[in-house]
Order: sequence, then C-alpha cells, then structure tokens
Amino acid sequence: MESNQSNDNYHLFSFNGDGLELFKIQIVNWLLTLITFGFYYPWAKAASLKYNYQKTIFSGSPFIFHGTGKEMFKGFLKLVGIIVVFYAAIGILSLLGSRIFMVIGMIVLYAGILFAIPFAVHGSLRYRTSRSSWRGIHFGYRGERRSLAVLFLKGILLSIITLGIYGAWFITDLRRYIIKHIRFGNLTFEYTGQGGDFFWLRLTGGFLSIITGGIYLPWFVVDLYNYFLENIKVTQNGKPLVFENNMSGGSLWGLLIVNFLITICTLGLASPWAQVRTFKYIAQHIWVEGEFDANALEQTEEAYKDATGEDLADYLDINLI
Amino acid sequence: MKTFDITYFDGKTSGAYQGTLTLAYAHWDIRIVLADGAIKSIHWPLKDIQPSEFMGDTNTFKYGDFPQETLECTDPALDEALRETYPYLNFFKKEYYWAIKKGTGTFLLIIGFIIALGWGVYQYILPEIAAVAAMTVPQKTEISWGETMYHNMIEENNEQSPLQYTVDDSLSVLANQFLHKIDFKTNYPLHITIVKEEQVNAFALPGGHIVVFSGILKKVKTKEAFVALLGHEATHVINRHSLKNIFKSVAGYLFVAFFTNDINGVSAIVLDNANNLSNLGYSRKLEAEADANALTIMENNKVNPNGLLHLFETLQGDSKFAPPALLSTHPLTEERITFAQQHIHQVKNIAEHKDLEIIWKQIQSQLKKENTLQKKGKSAK
Ligand SMILES: [Zn+2]
Ligand SMILES: [Zn+2]
Ligand SMILES: [Zn+2]
Ligand SMILES: [Zn+2]
Repeated sequence: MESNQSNDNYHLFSFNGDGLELFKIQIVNWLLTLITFGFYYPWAKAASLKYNYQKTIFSGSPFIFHGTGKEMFKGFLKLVGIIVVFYAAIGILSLLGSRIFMVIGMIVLYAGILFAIPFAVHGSLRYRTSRSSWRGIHFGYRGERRSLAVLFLKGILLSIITLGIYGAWFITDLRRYIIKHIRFGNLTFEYTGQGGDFFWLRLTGGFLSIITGGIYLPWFVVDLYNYFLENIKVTQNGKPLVFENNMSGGSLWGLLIVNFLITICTLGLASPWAQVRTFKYIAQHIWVEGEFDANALEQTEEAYKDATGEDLADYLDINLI
Repeated sequence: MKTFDITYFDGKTSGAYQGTLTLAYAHWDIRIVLADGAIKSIHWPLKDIQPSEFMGDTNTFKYGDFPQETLECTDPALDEALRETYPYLNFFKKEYYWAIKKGTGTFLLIIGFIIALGWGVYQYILPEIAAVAAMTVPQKTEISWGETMYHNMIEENNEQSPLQYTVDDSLSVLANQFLHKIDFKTNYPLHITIVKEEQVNAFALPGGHIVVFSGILKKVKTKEAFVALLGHEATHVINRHSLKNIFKSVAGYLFVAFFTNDINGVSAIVLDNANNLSNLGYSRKLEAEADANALTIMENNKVNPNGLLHLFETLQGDSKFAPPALLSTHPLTEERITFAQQHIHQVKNIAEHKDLEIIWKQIQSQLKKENTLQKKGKSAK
C-alpha cells in the first residue's frame, strides 16, 4: 500500500480533527482540572496539543507531539511560583503605602518580566520543537538564549526610543534569528523578510483597517500571513521549498464571523468547533511547493529535557514567531 | 492471527517502509520491505511500546528511546484487535479513549454537573473560605487596607473625578463629634465622613471608616435613628463584614478567572471593584447581625432603640418614589423590620442625651444652610 503522497511538486496539509471529539477531550480536561484544583492543567494542555498534532497531516503522515503533562507540570509549578511572588511583591509594595516605593517597585517588577520574556521564548521554542516530530524525525531549535535576549532587549529599547517605529525591524530580526535556528532533519530554514517592507506593509494595512472601521482587517491579516510565509525559505539538499497560500480576506471574514457567532451563541461551549474550523482553514489554504523528498530527512537533533518555557510563554501570551 | 498494513519509520531517517504488523504474545511482529526488496523482521516487546496519543484515523505507535521507531496504521480494526489481544493494556490514554467513544448525552450531563458544582462552590463554599481568611488578617493590616481604599475613593485636593466623592467638611466634623459621644465598645478607630451625594446611601470600609451620603442624612429625622444607622454601619466594621465581603468578591473573581483561564483580567476587575465597594451588598445574615448589634449599642448607650424602627420607616417611605441605594446594599426585608419590632423590649432606662441633641441640631441647621446655598446657586444659574 502506497501512503497518500501529494503530487510531486505540491505537498499538502490537512487537518482531520473533529469538533465533537475535541469537545469531548476538553470536557475531560475541565473535569480533571476541576477535581485536581487546577493541577491537571499541564496534562490537559498536553492532551489538546497531542490531539491537534495527530490530526494535522502533511504529505500523508501525521505530526506527533511527544511532550507529556509531567514534563510541563514542572514548568507549570515554576510559573505558579513566579506569579505568586509577583503578586506577593505587589501586595507588599501596596502595604508599604509609599507612592515612590510603589512606582519604583512596579517598574522593577515589569522590567523583570520584560527580561524574562526572551528566556521564556527560548525555553518554549527549545521544548516545543524538540517534542514535535513527523515520520519519526524531530524538529529542533538551536538558537542561543543569550543572543535572543540581547536581540530582544535591543529591539525593545530601540522601539521605545523610536516610539514603536522600530517595531517592524525588531519583529523581523526576531523572526530571522528564530527561523534560522530551527532544524527539521537536514532541512534548513531562513527568513528573508526586510524590516522596511514589513514596516510599510503594517503601516498601510493598519491605516486602511482604521479608515474602513476594521472591515479591511482580514485582508490585512492575510497580507501579514502571506508576507511571513513568502519569506520563509526552506532548503533540502540545495533545492528550495517554498510555502504557498491562497487565503483571501473574504474567506477569512467568513471563517471569523461564523466562529464568532457559534462561540458567542453557545457561551463558548462550541469553541472546539471554531478551533477545528480555523485549523482546517489554515491547512486547506497552505501548501509547500518544490521538490521535497519526504523519505530523505535525517534525524539530526538530540534529546532535550526542560519544560519551563512552555508554560511561561503561555502565561505571557507570546505567539511564537 | 490478524495482520495489519502499516508504514514504519526507523527514527534515523524519514524513509517510509511499507510492511505488516502482527499482534503476538507479549510483543509485536513487524515485517517491512527494504529498498532492495528484502524482507526485514522487527520485534517490539510490549513493555517498550509507548501508548499512542489518541485513537483516530491514523494511529501512531512509538518504540524505545530517542530517536524512536514509529509506525503508522490507518486500519480502523486495529483498535478492536488491540483490546482483544491485550485486554489488560491501554494503548490509548484511557480517559480520552473513554470520552471519544462515549455518546454526546453523557457529555451534556457532565456539563450540567460541572455548572452545578461550580455554582455550588461559588455560592456556598467560597464565601465560607473567604470569611475564614478575612478573620486571619491582623487588625493593623485591615486598618491600613481600609485607609488605602478610603483615600482612593475620597477626593482630597478637590480634583473632580467621577469615581471619587466630595467630602462635606463641616458636616463631617459635626458627625464625628456625634460619633465619638457613643460608646461602640471597640478598639477599631471609627471615623465618619459625610460626602456630598444625593443618593440615600451609607457604607463601611474595613478598619473603621464609615461613609455617609448627605442624601441619607437629610432623610434621617431623629438623633436616635442616626445612632441606629451608625450602630449598624459600625457593626459592619467591627464584625469585619466589609473585609469578608471584599474577600468574598475577590475570591469569586479569582474563581471565575480560573475557569475562564484569564489570570490577567483579574487584577483589572479586582481594582475596578475596589472602587465600587459601596455597591457590594451584604448577605441577609450579616444584615441581621448588624441590626441586632445596633440595638445592643443603643441599649448600652441608653439611646431609645425605637430609632432603628424610625430609620427603617424613613427608608421604606422613601422607596415609594425611588428605591434608596442603601436598600440594594443593605436589603431592607420584612424580616428585618419584624426582628426590630420583636427585640425592642426595654424602652426604659433611656437617658436624655443633651450633648447628642445639641450636635444633632447643629447638623440639622448646617444641612438647612447648605440647602439654601444650593438653591441660591441653582437660581443664580
Ligand atoms: Zn514474534
Ligand atoms: Zn483615616
Ligand atoms: Zn448593613
Ligand atoms: Zn450621652
């Protein structure tokens, strides 16, 4: 039996998840989280991730998420510790009653959080990639914590000084650094986006979204996605692979409106169906073009153990890449 | 023995090998076709096979340590065969396996159960926990919290702000003189503030601050009714009702935030709510406690306890036009009135209280003065 390979030059994604199945999984997650006073949360998260990975098929084979609740539990505990310390510090500061103490204290606390972000992103990338595989080949991230932190803090500083204008260059730099250090077997990745292009793209898109009262927003989002995907260059044995996509603002509008309605009308109970619709939409509209040899990936990454970043990033609501 | 078609990956490359899987005793037999057409036999002892993630269209199994061997099977009959061959093993995580196989009706029941449980915890268990927690706070801490809240809501430098109240200084001075003539038998530093608000309302902050709106002061007819009002509010302070209430609402928000996974949102709501302390209602139990203790305070101070009834009458009469805000935070139920009627037994042993009467008269004339000033101001405009 041949596995369903995509056409030679087109390599497709599909998402086979089912809203009802995901819904049932979430009910189990809620129930167990409830009776364990929240401590089941990492296991619940692992289960949802595993489901979504397993249902995402590329070129005939599913992805696998290997992370476990136990691994993420350690990260979760550290995170809870950090949150407790953070709120305790705020509590103590407010008890001291002095305004100056309060202001200085808050600045120190928020600066601390800002410093923690690149570390969280680094840990999260390391963990998430190492626990993801396709056809038995693991992803990997080889970036250095310190380089990312320097890049991040420089970017924040310049963004503040330039009142946010530098933001486009900052995000571009981050993407370039992170994507360059992602490994998948012997595939290499590169991000070719330019800060200047990205700046104008965001400026015009943002402007059009504002003057149309938000109607243009889905087209803007599609443009941002396009720009991001277009600029990821993947190379296998010297041969280029590119991401293509045919999303459109109109179809994205349709997706968002229906998702919004089914979620609101059911007080959030139907959110698994909305999630499945979103994943299906993305999988349907993105494909890889080029001479990809699905059999020729070699295992290049080593086992990696540490899950602190995973939940820290989750809490800080960082969207990876 | 049944054989399944599978795709095998050796963990070294992504090369796919087509082959078959046979479920054997304590191990799996895998046969794959190599590139040169030769057949290779692979042996997976059961104990090192890692459970697949979920049962689905394509099931994956892993074997050994990193980098693991993997096999993919799309045959839906595999699930049944696994259960028959190895009835004591779970190849899929059992809680999720159960869930995915179970009918939707069960889930509707579970949702109903979760909602009922959540509501029960929120309604009955949380307030108890919050009340116990409130009692562990040292008095000094409570007073300093109350002080912070007070200064957040009371306008100090006459800067206009919609969230803050404007203090009526001369009335506040008189009201404090009145307050300090009464013995509340407490070591809380009680302090009263009259604010310029037309609403018929009053509330107590943790630690000792009582805020009375000028709107209610205008309605109160007798000094005894005013003592009743102060006694009632002072009890909310002394018995830590205010603190318990704040703990309860914060615990409630934390609980809700926990379920909606929105930890960031909490602080905003908590802060927002601290400003709306005046809108936090008390439970019937705490109201009854405050009424009962107000009567005790009046009796201790030899003040006519009928003042409490007069206070109730004033509030009730007012509600014919518009329900006073005080009623939403201190609901005036029939049972409260009945309670007061039943417990006012000793109308004897009442002192004249010339001192209170003098201050009360001063308060009244100050109110009148402010009223005419206000009218003049309005007509001038
Ligand atoms: Zn055998
Ligand atoms: Zn004070
Ligand atoms: Zn009350
Ligand atoms: Zn007296």
